[in-house]
Amino acid sequence: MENEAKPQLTIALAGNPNAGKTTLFNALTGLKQKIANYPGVTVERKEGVWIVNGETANLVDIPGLYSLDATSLDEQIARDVITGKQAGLPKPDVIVAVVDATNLERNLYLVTQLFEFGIPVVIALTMIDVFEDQKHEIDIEMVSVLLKTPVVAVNVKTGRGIDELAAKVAEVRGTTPVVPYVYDEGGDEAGPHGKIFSRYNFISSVVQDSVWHSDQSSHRISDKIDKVLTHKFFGLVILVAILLVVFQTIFSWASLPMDLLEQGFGAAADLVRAQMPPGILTDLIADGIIAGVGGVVVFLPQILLLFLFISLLEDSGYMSRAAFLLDKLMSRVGLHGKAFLPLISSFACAIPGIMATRTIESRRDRFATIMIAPFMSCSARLPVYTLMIGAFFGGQYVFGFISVGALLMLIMYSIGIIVAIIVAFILKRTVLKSPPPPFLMELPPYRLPNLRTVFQNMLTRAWLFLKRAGTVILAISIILWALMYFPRSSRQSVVSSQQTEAAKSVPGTAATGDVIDEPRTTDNEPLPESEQLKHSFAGRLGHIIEPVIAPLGFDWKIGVALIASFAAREVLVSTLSIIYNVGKDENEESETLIAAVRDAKTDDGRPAWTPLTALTLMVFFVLAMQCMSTIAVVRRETNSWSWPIFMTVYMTVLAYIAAFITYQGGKLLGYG
Amino acid sequence: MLIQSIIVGLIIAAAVVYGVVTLSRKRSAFSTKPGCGSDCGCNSGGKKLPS
Repeated sequence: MENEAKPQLTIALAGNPNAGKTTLFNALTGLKQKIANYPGVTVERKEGVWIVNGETANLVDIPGLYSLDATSLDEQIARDVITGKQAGLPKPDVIVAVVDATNLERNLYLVTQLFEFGIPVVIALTMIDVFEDQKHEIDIEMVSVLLKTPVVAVNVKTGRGIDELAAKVAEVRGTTPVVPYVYDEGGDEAGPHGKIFSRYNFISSVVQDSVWHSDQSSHRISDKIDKVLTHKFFGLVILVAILLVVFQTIFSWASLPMDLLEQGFGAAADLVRAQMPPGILTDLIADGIIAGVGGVVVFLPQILLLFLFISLLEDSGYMSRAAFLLDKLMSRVGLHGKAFLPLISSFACAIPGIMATRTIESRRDRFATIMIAPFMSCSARLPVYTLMIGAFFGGQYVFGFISVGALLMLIMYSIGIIVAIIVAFILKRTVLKSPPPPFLMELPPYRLPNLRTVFQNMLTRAWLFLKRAGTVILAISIILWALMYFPRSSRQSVVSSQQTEAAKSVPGTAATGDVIDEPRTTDNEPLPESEQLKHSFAGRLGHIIEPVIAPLGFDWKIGVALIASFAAREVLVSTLSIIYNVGKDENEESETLIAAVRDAKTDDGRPAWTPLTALTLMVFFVLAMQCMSTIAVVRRETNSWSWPIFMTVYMTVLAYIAAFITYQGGKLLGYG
Repeated sequence: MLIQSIIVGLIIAAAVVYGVVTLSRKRSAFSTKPGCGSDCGCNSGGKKLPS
């Protein structure tokens, strides 16, 4: 983008959510995209370069919306972009309106509003293949004539209409559009909604004159599938089964590439140790950088597979059915129907989920959704769950075919959802009391997922994950390594400091200085690495918090990882990787992180981890608020520090209590 | 050995600086700009959404 000439042509891409706008945007711009936020707000601003008849155009993707009535933030931003009031964006020369052919009437409502801005509009008719599969026919010429604007049927998969769309954009550029209908103000009878009625009457006439329904059988098939998938009992059974299959597949498919990555990082660390002279730099590279970053990067296959399945479920239309199923439950606790999309987005990451709450008009409903969004198990928790499951529950099956790991993942995701519902129920009846507004949910048609979109989504997520590992996680790993490596202690210094402590505890002795300056031994050689770690800055901090976390079954090393994970959840994995590498004595062999966790010992020689400890840690991670970026976004979205502080405190207290009950309850039942 | 220590010191310092810069950027990116409403964009004239 930077090396190219500044585009002279600005084209806005507008359309309803689920109309295929993003797919078309990706197809038109390819990889020449720039993603940022609109100034002052956190709504995503996507721009890309589109070559229109040889001319470079700046294609601006407007947030998906149903109308321009400007009640939600997305609608206000869309209005600002179209009217040229958005900072840094000129008024568009042409608007490409993306219209879903299978939902023509609803999609055309936005188009009728776009006509009123005096900017030429070209309609890109998407989902035309699905529309034709449903045995519908459309006279595109007639639609174009009636709307007095060019209409082009496009299909990204086959490339149909892409060139024609560019040609039409070039053709209408600079022309003055004609609004194809007149308002029937209707006097007092029409009231304030006269314009809306006029628009819908016009749309109805356009659809009646240009669309034929030759067969209703496909509608019937879709309805029959919906009856099963949205059934209040069978629908839930199918949802649970699908999630189990997804988690089981993630574990089984990811194990080989994960092992290879783990071996690769192990070999890299061994190579560094073999090639470089022993010393502090070698320790930093092998135990800090490779162990820290590598510890997180090995989970890349799981992240890729998770987003592959999320994309497939979204693109096929199933995700909306799942949301519809949970909608009944959520509306009973008083949550707004529009809360579902933000909550579903939060399974990938709470940050876009929290940003997506801006579509909820009611402030109280919006805040209630923001407060529970981080309970949805995000992708940063996946490495933690996978590590615990891999170390203690790998290769175990229930009924011979259901993997215990997949079942535990399902349980963790379910705990997050159930607790979120309970918290929403309480919030909506106390601090955020308000009646839930009615909500109409649209179920998009079933369709074959677009592989290009699915892979693009996977690659974007993989890139974000690796970028995070190479920047934030790398920096945190280096700092944590330093905290675990320094100060370097000798036997003499340790004995001295112990005597100082003892002297302080006995009144009068410290004043003499005799005991402090006279070590019991003259042995000045360095301590073994496991002892060094214990006396490092991080080790001391871990020992300070140990009494607080001991009731959860965690030792001080887990405590250090727990503190570090409040920066970002996946840092727990890199911290454990560094701890078990830094604390490894010379005679100990290198081992994988899973093996290191399994073999770790407490100071008194007991196993540091048991299956119950692993389960307790997972429960803690489901409920605790351990993400600085999320806290920052909540601060921004609520415009107050009170809400992020409230969220952090209540979630962490809840996590502690749940982890305590899990560990102590497990011990009482004899699992300790 | 001394060179190794110097390089390690520089790497740690760079990591700390990166952390501080990232934190301060995040802080400014998520703080509300003057003239912008809590729920609306800067171009909305600070108009609040109906609650």
